[in-house]
Amino acid sequence: MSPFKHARLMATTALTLCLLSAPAFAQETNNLDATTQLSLGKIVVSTGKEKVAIDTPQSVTVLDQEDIDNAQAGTVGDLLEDVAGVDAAGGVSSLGQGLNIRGMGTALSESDSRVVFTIDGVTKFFEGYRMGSLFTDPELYKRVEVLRGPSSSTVYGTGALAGTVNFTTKDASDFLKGDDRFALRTKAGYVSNGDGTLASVIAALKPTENLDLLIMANSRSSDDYQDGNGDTVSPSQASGASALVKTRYYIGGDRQHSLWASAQKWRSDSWQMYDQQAAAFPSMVRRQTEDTNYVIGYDNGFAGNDWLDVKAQIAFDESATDQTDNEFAPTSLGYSSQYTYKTVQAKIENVSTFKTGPLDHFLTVGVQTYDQQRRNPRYSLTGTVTNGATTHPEGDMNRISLYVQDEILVGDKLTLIPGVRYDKSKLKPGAGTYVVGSTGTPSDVDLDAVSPKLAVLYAVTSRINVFGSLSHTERLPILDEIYTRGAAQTISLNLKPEVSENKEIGASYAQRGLFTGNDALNLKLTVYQNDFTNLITRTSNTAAAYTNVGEARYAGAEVEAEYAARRFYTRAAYSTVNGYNKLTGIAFNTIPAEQLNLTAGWVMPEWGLSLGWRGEFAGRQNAYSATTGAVSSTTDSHDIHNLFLTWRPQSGALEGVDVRLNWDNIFDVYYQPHLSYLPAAGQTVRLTVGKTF
Amino acid sequence: MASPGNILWATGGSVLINGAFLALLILTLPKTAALPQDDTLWVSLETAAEAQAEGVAPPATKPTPPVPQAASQPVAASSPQAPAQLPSPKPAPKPTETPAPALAAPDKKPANSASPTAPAAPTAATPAPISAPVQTSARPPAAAASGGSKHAASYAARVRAHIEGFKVYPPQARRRHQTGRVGFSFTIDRQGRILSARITKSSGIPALDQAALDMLSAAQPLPKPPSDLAGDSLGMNSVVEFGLTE
Repeated sequence: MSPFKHARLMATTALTLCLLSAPAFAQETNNLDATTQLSLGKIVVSTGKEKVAIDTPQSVTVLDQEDIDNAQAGTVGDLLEDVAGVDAAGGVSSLGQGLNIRGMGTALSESDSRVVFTIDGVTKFFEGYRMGSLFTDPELYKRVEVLRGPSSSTVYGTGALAGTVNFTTKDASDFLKGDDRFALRTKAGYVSNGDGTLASVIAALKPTENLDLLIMANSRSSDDYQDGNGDTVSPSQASGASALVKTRYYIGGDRQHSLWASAQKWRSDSWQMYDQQAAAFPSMVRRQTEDTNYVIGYDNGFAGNDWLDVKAQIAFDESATDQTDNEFAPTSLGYSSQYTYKTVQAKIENVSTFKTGPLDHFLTVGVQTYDQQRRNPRYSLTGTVTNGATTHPEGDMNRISLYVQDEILVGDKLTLIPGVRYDKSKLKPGAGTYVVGSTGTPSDVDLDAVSPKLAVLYAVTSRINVFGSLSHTERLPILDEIYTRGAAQTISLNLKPEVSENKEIGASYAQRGLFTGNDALNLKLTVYQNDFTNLITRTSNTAAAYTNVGEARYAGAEVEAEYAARRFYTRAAYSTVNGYNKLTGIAFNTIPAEQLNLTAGWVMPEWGLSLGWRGEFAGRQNAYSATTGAVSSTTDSHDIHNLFLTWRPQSGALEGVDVRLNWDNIFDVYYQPHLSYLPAAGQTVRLTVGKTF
Repeated sequence: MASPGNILWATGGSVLINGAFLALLILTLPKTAALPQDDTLWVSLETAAEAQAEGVAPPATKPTPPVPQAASQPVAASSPQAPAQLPSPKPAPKPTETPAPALAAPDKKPANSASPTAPAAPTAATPAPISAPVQTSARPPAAAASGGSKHAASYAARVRAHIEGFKVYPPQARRRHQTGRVGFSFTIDRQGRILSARITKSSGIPALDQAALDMLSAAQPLPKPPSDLAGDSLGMNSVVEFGLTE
């Protein structure tokens, strides 16, 4: 071999190696091409059969690992604040927050069941009054999908009249490149406002070719932040510790057949306001909150068999708060008390691919079971125990659900997605539950519901899609709604399911190569009208505590527009919602302000640098008296400007480091989003530095 | 004895039959496309180990390539007789003015490219294009030297990121949930123009293979090779994934 042939081979090795390590490389350079910043081009996995957002006949937003890292969010509400049609509601700290989608959802209890949360396919639910509805840390996740509107209910959740939010935890394979057996990622973060810190360690292992293991631990803490006026907002701290262990064993050579398990825990132990949502009372209480989630899953794609692609899982999930030293009302509410929601859930789902004549089918069939135990022992200072409260009854709920959804391709242009979900639930009152006051023995309640839908997508041209959907969705009442009582009010055994008739139409436009070779433009518009009958509402009369008298209409629109050329990208997300009680004509107080989010960024691949601006513009919004319809309060409009920078050195000693710097609310504006009970943070600098070894 | 009418019928029939043969061949073959070139010299940059690790056929170093048809029977798409698919069959003398040539996997029958006289192997009638390094690796490189491997690696990274930016998932494949990985190799000149490109590992879905070649074609000109990577042309191979999971 001539020396110069040898030299040639060296070059060969170097070039080929880099070009071929595609998956790992793509992950690292994701932010280095502006077109990867487009949101509508992302894959949506939780709508039955995976598809790209712009091809999905409903309104959907996907946040991937890059988005989650870039947000540097302390709470789920912060994480989702840029998503059109989604608002954090209630409090602003780790505990006390709820989510509102399309005008539905509060941080209070019952109406939250219209927004369904899942983590790795496990349904989360907590109705703890004044504590919020989801206890977790954004750091645990690599993916969040927000599906707006009830048509997502078919596959993902019972009674998701508002929509569903699906979280996916990180996997070892996200960090292991090529033949790596071990990878370590450490990350530290600092938040100037509230002196917040984050420490996170991830170890990803591949002890054998077929086994992946991820171990992750996070610790986050902060004090209360200051608003734009320089006043400390209490409570606003984002604190908690979390851990995730997840393993996957691949059976056989192809990666479609695997067994996996995950264990996740989030906990926080702190002195809090009794009312974490609105800080309505100054009284303090100590809360130890623990959210635990264990899942064992089995996936089998049955390579070569189009009829079978099975995913099965069984899960144990518990959200628990141990409350002590209650200063608020220790006599009536208990000096210390426990709020626990234990669920055991199982799910099996199969996707079949087949043809009938000229039609292609992707048929999803699933069965889901959900057993919930809700316990709330309350201990007085003298040691006597009461089970639950009149407005927070103990009880059990068992539910079984069946669902079928077919995605039918007709020719090259038309896609039909019919689906139906059947839910059957049994509610049993727990200890301390009475028919009225403290008398009478309540009975079990059996309920069932059928929720059909049809979605249609038509490709007018290769660039233009139009879509629409009709769905009839029923939400079964939950324990709170059936067994809440008063001193003179009875429980509500005759409640019927709440019914939504949702109509949705939309259009999308996608073009590559508009001005330059590889630029891209995506547009998507969705308009909806969601009519409720049998709306379940709390009463103040002396009959049952809840009734079905209500009728309501929620209507609105979401627009997403984005453009990227090689170095530049810009995105816009707009949403508007109207919602009112059809019987009184009075607007609901859960309707967020009209909102526009704009992002513009510049990518410099040679420096590994990405930087940009993000603006949040919200309109003025009124709250109304539910009885008279008069304006009871007004939230001013706000314009908030933020700057961000991501730096990933491509070579040198700092290679493998990623630095993210956000300068939020740069003009230190005082504002309070309409659905929030507390002011938002003033000027805040967030910095995280990560390093993957 | 042969009337003009008969000749017309015979010619027409022959074209049809051969066209059908060609179509059959094309449909069953892994997709290959290449541009003819004059005296550009090759530096093959493939090694077996990495290529195999990623499932890419390494034609340059294997006596029997895993995709034998691709190496032994370059498909007619690269023929200069199919000008519709090759707007720029020869690199123009002035590189900056060269229009980007379009690459095409031969899903469709190239117009009139099948010669009636060679029905069994229509591609044999065309001048053999340089479509795989294996065919040209015998040529001596004019100048082959190497810069530091770090330099080469960062150049390769840039090339890859550049190409990925031109990836377009074919809408119908996307709609049908068709996914796959396409292995491809290509050569470029010092101006970053693609001289030849071929599929080394088909995804099994013609639309995705074509999309890989379209991506390369649209990505021209590629970043110019750094001066310390010597040689008149560089060959590279890579994998593009059309996936619907995350």
